[in-house]
Amino acid sequence: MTDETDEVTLINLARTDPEAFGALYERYVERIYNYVFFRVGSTSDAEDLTAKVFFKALNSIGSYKHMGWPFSAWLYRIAHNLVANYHRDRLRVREISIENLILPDTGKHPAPEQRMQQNQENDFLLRIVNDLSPQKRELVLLKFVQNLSNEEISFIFGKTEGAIKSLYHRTLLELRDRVKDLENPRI
Amino acid sequence: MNSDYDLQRLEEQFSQLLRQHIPSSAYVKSLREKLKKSQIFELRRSFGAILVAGFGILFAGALSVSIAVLAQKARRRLSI
Repeated sequence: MTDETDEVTLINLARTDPEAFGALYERYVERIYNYVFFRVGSTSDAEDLTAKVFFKALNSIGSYKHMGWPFSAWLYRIAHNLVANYHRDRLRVREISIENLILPDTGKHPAPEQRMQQNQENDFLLRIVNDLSPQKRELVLLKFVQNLSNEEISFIFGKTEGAIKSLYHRTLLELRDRVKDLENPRI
Repeated sequence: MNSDYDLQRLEEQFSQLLRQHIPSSAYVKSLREKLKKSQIFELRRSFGAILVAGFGILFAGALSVSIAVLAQKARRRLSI
């Protein structure tokens, strides 16, 4: 059985079987949480929204039709809409700066010099991405971190694949310019 | 910072940096239990059972009517 048929079978079972839904949940909870966290910037809000994503999925899975997209794209679309509502409800013009995020302790404790260099690189990365518009930042998150294809992102954003390709191209050019600017600051 | 800081490296580093953030295992476990206890599974199963029973009753009704019509026709033929 291929992964796709396995997933479709699991989705069909998950409509009435809590264990099957639990298996789907286990498969995607970390990725959805990670995506939500980097769009809202707080652990408690990310936990609330992730729970809402899965409860909404549970309520709507009865009408889910497999149209060739992976199940994850459907979940990301729910998460994308809930995060958009979250920002609209709070009347936030800009999303929370990911520069200010406190990244978790990975358990690895390198030498002080290495740690300093690592921190510098992390700051550099976060500064570059933070200057992007919220939509481009979300695109970077979906492409770089979640490894989604343009086709999947087009489904999540509700845009054509061509529009996503073009947005991605513009985002890469902006990132490249931003890297150059930060490496060789104009005096 | 290196001047040959290319986009592929940027992608890899960004991916590594952000993937580190995962939910706590206590949260994952507790949400899983809440989802599994949802009433919706029971509701869907009951709805499925009602639907099957409904179709069963409809089928039995249609069968009875057909038999009655056939029996009526046969009786008429016999009386002629």
